[in-house]
Amino acid sequence: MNLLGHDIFEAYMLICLVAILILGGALHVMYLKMIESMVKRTEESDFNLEDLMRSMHISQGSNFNIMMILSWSLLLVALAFLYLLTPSIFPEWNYFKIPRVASLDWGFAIFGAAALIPGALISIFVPKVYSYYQIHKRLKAIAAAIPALLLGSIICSVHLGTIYPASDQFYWNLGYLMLAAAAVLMILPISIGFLEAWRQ
Amino acid sequence: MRPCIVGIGGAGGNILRQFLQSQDINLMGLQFGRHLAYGGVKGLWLESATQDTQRQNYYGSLVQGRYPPFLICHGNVSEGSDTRRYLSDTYGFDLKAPGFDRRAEYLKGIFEVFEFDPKLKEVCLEEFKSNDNPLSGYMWQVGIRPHTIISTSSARSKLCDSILFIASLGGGTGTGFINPITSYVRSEEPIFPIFALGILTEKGTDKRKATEGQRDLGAVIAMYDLLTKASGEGIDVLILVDNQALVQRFGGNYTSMDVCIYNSLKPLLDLRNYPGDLLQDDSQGIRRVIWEVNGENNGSNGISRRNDGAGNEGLLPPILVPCYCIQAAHEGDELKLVEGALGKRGSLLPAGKDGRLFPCDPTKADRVLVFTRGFFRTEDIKEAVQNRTGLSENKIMVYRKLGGGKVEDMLILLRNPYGGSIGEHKRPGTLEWRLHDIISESINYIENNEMNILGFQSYKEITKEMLRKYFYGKDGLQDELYDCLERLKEGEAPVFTRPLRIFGNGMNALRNCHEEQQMAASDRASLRKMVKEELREIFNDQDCRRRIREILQS
Repeated sequence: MNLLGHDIFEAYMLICLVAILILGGALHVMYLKMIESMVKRTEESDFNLEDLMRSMHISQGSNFNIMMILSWSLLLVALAFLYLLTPSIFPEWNYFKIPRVASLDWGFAIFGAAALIPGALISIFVPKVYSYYQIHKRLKAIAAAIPALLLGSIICSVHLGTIYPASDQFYWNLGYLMLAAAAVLMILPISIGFLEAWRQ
Repeated sequence: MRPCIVGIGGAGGNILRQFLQSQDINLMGLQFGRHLAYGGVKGLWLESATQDTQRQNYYGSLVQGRYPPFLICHGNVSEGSDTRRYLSDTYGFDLKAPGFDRRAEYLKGIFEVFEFDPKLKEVCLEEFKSNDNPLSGYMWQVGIRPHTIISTSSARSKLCDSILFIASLGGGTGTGFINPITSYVRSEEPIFPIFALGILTEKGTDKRKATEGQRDLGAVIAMYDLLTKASGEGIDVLILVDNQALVQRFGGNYTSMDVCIYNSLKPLLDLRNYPGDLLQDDSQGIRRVIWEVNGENNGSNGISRRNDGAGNEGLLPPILVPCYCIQAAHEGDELKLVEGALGKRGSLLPAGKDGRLFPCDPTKADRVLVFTRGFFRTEDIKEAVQNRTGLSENKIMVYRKLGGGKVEDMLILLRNPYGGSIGEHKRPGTLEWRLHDIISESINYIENNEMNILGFQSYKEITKEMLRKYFYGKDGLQDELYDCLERLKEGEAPVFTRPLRIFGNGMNALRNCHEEQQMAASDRASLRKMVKEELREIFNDQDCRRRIREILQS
C-alpha cells in the first residue's frame, strides 16, 4: 500500500464505514437490554427475551420493508464497487484481477450480481431489527432515499471503473459520501430508538 | 383489539381518515403490500350523500376495489327499484334521499317499516334475493363483514375482531344510520363485539344552518335508541365525546379535534402488550369487562338494567367517557397522567381543558378501564386512579402496552360516570348537566316545531300520523323526555329506559292507524251530510229568502 496518504485515507474511510455499521449493531443490542430491564422493573411475573421481542414487534409496512431489504442488499454491492472495482485501493483484490469477467461487456453487472449474493443473505435477517422500533413516518420517508444514495455511489464507482487507469478523486469522494450517508440513515432508526429509551 | 372502524357520515369519515393514516412510506403511488394503519385496523366510510364522496380524494369506491373505501348506503338500490317505489308510495320515504335529510326519525322510520311490513319484505326479497333490508344488508355483507374474522376470507390473522362505529350525534347520515346498522349487524351476529363512538354535536347553529334544537333532537333520538337496546339487541357500549368540549379546547379547528380523538384512542389500539399479556385486550375480553355487573344486587351496581314489566330483566349498554393524557416519556409519573386525564380533584370546569372528552364527574364512575403506553407498574396505576376516583381496586382494570417512544400516555375509560345524587343536573361539568341541556333543547324544539317535524317532508298520511303519535302522543317521545329530565334531577340511572318505536307494535299499529283514518273518513262524510241538510233547511225558510233578496238588491 502507498503510505503517502492516498490508500491509507481510503482504508481509514472503510474502517469508519464498518464502525458505523458495528455501532448500529451495538446500539440495537443495548436498546433491547434497556427495554428488557425497564419491563423487568415494572413487571411482577417472569418472562423471557423471546416473549418480550414478540411483544415489541410492530409492523412497519411493506413499502418500508422492501426499501430496507433493497438497501441492505445494495450496501454490500456499493461497498464492493467502491473498494474492489479498481486496483487503486486493493491492488491484489479487485475486479480487474479476473480478466475473464473484466473483458466481458456485462462484466460490471456480473461483478455486481456476485456482490449482491452476500448482500441478499444479510438483507434476509438484518432488516427485521426495525420491527422493534417505533419509527416515525417522517423518518421512514427519509429512509426511502437510501436506495437512491446507494445507486448514486454505485454509479460513481462504475464511472471510476470505466475511466481506469485514469482516476478522479472527486467521484471517489462523492461515491463514499453517498455510501456513508446511506449507512448513517440505515442505522438512524436504531440510534433514535436507543436515545429515546436511554432518556427514560 | 383490532377493530374494523366504520365511519358513518361526514364526521365519521373525517375521523376515520385519522385512524386509517398509512404508517408506511409513500412511494409515489406504489404499494407493495396492504395498506397499513395504526394497530392494523381496517376501515370503511359509509355515506348516503354521493356529493360528499365526490368532494374528496382520500377514499375510493369500494365497488371499484379501492382502499381506503367508501360505500354509498343505497348504492345497490336502482332509480326504478320496486322496493323504493313501494316505500315512497305507501309511506313517503325515499330510500335514496341524499343525507336522508339529516333527520334521525327519517331513517328510524324507514328501518322500522322494513322490520314489520310483510308486503315490503316480499317486494324486497323478490328484488334483492338474499336481503330483506337493501340498505343494512348491503352495507354489512359488502362493506363491513369482509374485513372481520367472521368473513369467509382465508386471511384470518389480519382480520378484525370487532367493529367500532364512529358517527356524529346530531348530524345527518351518521345520526340516522348508527342505530339501524348496529341493530342489523347484531341481528346477524349475536355476540360479535360492536362498539360505537358517538360525537355529540356542539352548541349553536351549524354550517348547514341546522339549529341547535334540531341537532340536539337528532342526537337524543340516536342516543336514546342506542342505549335502550338491551344486551343482544344492539351495541355493547357507547363511547361519548362532546364536540363542544373539543371546540373550546381547539378553537373550532375540526382537524385538530379529529386528531385529538384519534390520539386519545391509540392506547386502546396499540398491539404491543406487555409480555405475557398478549390476549389481555382482545375484543371479546374487553366486551365481557364492559358488560360485567359489579356483583352487588342492589340498584347501584353499575350496569343499567331494564325491566320490561313482564318480569324480564335485561342489561342496557353502558356509556364510556374517554379521558386522555400524554407526557414526555422520561417523566414516568403515572399520578400526573391520571390527573391530566381526569382533571384535579373537585374540579369539573372548564370543560375540555383537561383530558375528559365529555363532561363528567370521574368519582361517579362505577368501573374504570385504563390503557397505558409506557413503563408502569400495575399497582402504581391502580393506586393513582383509586386516589382520584375513590373506586376499589377490583373495579379498576389496567391494560399496559409497552413504551419506547418519545412519549407515554394514558387512556382512562369511565363507565357510567353519572347518577346517585339529586340535583347534579345543575352542577356544570357533570354528565347529567350536559344531558339535561340537550334533552331540554330537544323538548323545546319538539314543542315549537310541529310543522317542521311533521309537515316538511312528503310523508303520507299514515306516516304523519305515526310520527305524530311517536313525538306527541301519550307516552310518546315528548312525554318520555320529560321523564328523562326527572330521572336526571333525581339522580336515577339509567336515564333512557323504554324503547320507543315510530310504528308502535308494527302491523297492529299500522292497522289501527288505517282504521282510524277510515273512521275519520266516515265521520267526515256524516258531517258533510249534516251540513248540507242544515243549509237546505235554512234556504227553504221564507224569512231567510227575503233577507237574502234584500242583501242582493242593496
